[in-house]
Amino acid sequence: MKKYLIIAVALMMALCGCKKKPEPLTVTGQWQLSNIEMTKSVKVGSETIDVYLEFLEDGTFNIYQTLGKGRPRHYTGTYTLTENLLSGKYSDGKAWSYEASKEDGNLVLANPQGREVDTYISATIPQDVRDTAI
Amino acid sequence: MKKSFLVFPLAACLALSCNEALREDQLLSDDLRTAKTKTVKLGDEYDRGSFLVKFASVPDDAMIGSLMVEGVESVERLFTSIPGKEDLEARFGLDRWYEVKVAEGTRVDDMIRQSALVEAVSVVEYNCLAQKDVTGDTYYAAPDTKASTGAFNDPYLSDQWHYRNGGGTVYGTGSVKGGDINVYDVWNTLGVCGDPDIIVAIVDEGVKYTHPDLAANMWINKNEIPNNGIDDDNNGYVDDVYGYNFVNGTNQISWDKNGDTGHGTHTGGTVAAVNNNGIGVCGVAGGSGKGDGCRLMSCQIFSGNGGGTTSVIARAVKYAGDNGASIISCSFGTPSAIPTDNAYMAGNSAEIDAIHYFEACQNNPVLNGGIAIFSSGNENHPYAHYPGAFVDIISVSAIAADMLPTNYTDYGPGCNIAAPGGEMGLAGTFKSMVLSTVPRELEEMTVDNTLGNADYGYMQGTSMACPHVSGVVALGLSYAKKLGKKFDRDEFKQLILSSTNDIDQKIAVTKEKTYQNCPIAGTNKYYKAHAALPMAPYYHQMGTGAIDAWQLMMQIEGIPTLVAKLDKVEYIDLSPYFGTSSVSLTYLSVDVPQETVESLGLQSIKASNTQKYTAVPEEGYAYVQYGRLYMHPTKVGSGKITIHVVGGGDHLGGGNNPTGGMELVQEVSVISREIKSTNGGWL
Repeated sequence: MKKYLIIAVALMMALCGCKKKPEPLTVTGQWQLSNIEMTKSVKVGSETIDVYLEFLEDGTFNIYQTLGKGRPRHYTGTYTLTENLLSGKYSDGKAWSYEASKEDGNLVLANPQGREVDTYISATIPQDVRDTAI
Repeated sequence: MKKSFLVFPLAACLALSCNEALREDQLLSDDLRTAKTKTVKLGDEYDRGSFLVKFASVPDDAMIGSLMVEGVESVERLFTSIPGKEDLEARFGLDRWYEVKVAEGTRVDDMIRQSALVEAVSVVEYNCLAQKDVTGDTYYAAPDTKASTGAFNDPYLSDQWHYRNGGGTVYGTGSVKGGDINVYDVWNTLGVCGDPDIIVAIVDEGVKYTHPDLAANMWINKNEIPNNGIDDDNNGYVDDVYGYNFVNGTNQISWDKNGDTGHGTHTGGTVAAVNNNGIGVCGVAGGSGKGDGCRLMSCQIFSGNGGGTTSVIARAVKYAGDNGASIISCSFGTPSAIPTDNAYMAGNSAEIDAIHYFEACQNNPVLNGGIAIFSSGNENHPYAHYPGAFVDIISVSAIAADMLPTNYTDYGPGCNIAAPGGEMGLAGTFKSMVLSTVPRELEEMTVDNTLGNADYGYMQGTSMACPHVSGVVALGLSYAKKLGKKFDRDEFKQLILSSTNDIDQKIAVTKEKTYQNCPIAGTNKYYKAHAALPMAPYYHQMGTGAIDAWQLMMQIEGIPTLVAKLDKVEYIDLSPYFGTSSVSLTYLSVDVPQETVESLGLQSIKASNTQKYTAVPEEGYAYVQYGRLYMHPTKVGSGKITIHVVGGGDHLGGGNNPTGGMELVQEVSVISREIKSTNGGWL
């Protein structure tokens, strides 16, 4: 009996000691900018900013952005995610990189110095944004 | 000895005669040189029966009489003078231009040379022929049996990809979503569709003013009683109700003569075909169906196979300015390589004098003058043709539904902006061309086309690109009028040229574009595909990009948003607001509201002044120097900054001040971010 008790305790200890393996970070999907550091909404001061990101599984991305008034602008390029370093290049060769993380299902992108932190919520890019973007 | 005596006089005679011949040659050469320096010839083709003369001063009868030599039939003043506008006419020398008609059998070149030797004459100009900038034929559109789609209920609107391009292949291989003039949101969101007080002169073939999709938007000269044979409004033209036929010198505007192509009716329809009337097509500034479209004035300079001379064009352009037009839409040019503006201006051509006169005519409450818009030309030359190429005239090149240059468009120096001109062969149908109104009377257009006798048709050319820009500018003036805004004419031109979408990015990644055969409906014939077109020559050669109506409205309303980088002294180029002259303008002050200081976390900065471009102010939260706005944001945020500038001169005029400029106030909107992509992307 003592022998079984020892085994049971050992098993319980082993189970308790097992750390849950973290899920790998993924950014695939469609996102909408919801917050910029030091502000509480995407309306910064008097200017409205509307940014949609789309990271596709094939390693390409789309950005649809409207800064202030005007028509949405469409940018494309490629990206890679190495651990939590999200980096990419626009189709014109301009490079960018961020530290990526997930918080409550939101995608948080911080620049390497951590001075700007942008939060994106999961969203579906509206069809009219896709259709009218240039 | 005898021989010597004989030889000497013979040699002397020979020498004398040689000297005389030499002197005569020299004299002739001097005359030729004089004649040449006074003579202007803008094109290779010219009228053999007339030429133009500009006197050095307003001529008296004796000076005019000095031109009445054998072979000359008449000498008459080129421009009709308008009571009350004499000073403006004199300012541009229009009171000194005369048209000389030569008798049959007389060589006009001889008369030109002879007239150039008259001391009182400063310029003699060949009456050159311009040509319409349309390529290929006109093709009738299929009957409009489709359901209404798009912003308005006009059934053909869905085929006008040039207003809203949804991509796909119907309008051409590689069609680009948004490869259009972006006008839908201007109509729908802003509710800006036109204004009857904004008149666009179609300087072209006659506009079919009875066309069911144009009639309601035709300009009507209310001061003229039709068909009473009297010049009621005293503007020099009898019974001019919808405009004037300058080719034949009558009020009978025509569009159905042998040789007509429907060109004027097509370009007019693009500017202001009536919108939301349940039939046909839409025009860029054609209103919302409530009688609120911009108005079309027909200034006819081509008729059948005639017209297009410098004298006809010059008269038509002056008429537009005298009778209320804010814009001249000119889809023509002179296909000749004139290398510089000075060559074009040599001695002041009657044509450019008339255009400058038009530009000085204020016919709306928004601008202090008119806007001249020309096509760049269809010769596929690496430069625009004149008059469009002239430095202060907007010249429009053509792109297709793929947002790439077309195989006919002129490009390079002198081409200021691009707009949809259509391109046959990009699709397997004519739908890749531009759809607009045409006169149904032109039977020859039905050849090889079973869809004939309709009121709508497809055409392609920089001729079709030009009226898109004219329409967008007409919308811009309509919106500015609605907002009660006023602009300097040159400032407004800068707004137009900076309201564009990028073309170069796609040109850069496209090696060449290819074409397909285009079958002709109802026949077994087809138009053979154009050879593949390399794109490299067009890179950075299509002006400032493709016109965007929405962007122009935004610029009129306020300003686009700019991004500044955080934690560094950042500058923003002000040329989008003040043009390339922003560097040398005199700045009065820069106002930074406290809320902007707080939002952007602006730090006080001090300029390192130079003698030539003094910073204004020398220190503060923002200053302007070298045409740039400097600031140092430390927080992510946004705000507005107001800049005060002198427009015209280096100081303000008024009161006891010496003559000076007026104050311009420009609001600049800025967002600061840690990250600033040089291409404008958010990441």
